[in-house]
Amino acid sequence: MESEVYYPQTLSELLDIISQNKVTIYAGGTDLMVEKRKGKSVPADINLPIVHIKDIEQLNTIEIKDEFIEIGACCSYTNLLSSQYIPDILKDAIKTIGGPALRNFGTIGGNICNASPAADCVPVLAVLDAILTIESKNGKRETNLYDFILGRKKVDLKEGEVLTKIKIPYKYLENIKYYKFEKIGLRNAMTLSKVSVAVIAEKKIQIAFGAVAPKFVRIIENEQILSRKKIKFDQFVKLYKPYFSAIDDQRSTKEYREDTACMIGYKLYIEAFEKIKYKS
Amino acid sequence: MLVEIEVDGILQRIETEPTKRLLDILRDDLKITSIKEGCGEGECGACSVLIDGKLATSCIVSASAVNNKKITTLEAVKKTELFSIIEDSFARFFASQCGFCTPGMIMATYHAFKKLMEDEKYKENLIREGKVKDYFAKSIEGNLCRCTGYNQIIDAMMDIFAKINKRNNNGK
Repeated sequence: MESEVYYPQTLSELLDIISQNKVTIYAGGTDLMVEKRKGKSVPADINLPIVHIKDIEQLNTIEIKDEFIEIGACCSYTNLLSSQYIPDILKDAIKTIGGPALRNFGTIGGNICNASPAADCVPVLAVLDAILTIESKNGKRETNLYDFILGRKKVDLKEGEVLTKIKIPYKYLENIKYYKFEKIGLRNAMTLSKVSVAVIAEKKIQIAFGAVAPKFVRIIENEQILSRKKIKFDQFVKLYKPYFSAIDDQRSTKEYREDTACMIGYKLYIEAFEKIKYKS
Repeated sequence: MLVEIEVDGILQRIETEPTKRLLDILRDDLKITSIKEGCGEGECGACSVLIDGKLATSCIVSASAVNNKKITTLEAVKKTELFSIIEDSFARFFASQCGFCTPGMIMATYHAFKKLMEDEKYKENLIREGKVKDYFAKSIEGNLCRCTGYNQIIDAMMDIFAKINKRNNNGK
């Protein structure tokens, strides 16, 4: 069946189109086209009319506004890497995504909305307390990553809504004492995460894990305990392991993922703790 | 839908499904067979082309996404001066073994050198920090070579780099 294709030029045109039609939103297409080929397209809607949003200028900007770095959802990884505003920890994560060709087309908004448990930007954005702007014809709302990502490949986007901006507060970035993103994959280049961990420390240590549960894991209550005094590895495992529910798949096993996440998480935690302990 | 694309300087109008892969259009409709299908998932780089000058894996790009865009394949790159330098160095350093990844490797190499030529500052930084080789290794990180001839390819890239610099210096 022949399906329709839309090329909105502006955000308001896009909002009009998605308010009237059931559509598949196509940004970089790097996940969508692979899923289509495997025939397990989880949105399963690639037969719906396609809306190409990559070239909408309002979704391709990176700017500083008020207390935030505002990133348009369609910014490609390559654009983000060449921007002076993007925090280094996010750049470190982006550098591990795919190769140059993929980074030219893959978008930060796509990484979030595709909601893969192994998405590399997500744990980093989680420790940075990123806020997402969702727009529809009826208006705008803001949400955080924890509420937005509902589970594996599931996000809280209602009909007629689209993710337009990712806002990173730069309150931490000015006095940041420690940051690190670490990922374990099968090889160093061009690889998908088996496990990923992002840590930042300003006054408090903030840790998020990727690929160990249907959605990223960041436990705010634990961060109080971690920051107060240096804890032992056993205790660290007790604090985090109950929240992990990794899966066995072609890339790795549940056991490997969860154990490795604890080990890397603890290693980075100790590094971060050493950096903040004299200053607090 | 009707898709209009400029492929290697020639405007093409193609009637196609919106989600047909650019790879299939180039190979099947336009018979440009230097573009290879490897993994089909954007992970091996054998199907690399340039879209508006940006390196892309054509197996994960849909026809509708390239409507009104410019595609450059190896066929056009082959006619450039830069290619003749690449070709010479690839041959000298045995950078091609079975040859299947070679078109993609050349596209990635071409893309990497284009960037250096356009951004003199970036190039000088790389030289100052001793990161030229690292830059070349990273620029082909999206291309798999199952003969594992990566070192030869990177050596060839270093040779191309030396030749271009030498020529530029002589010109000054």
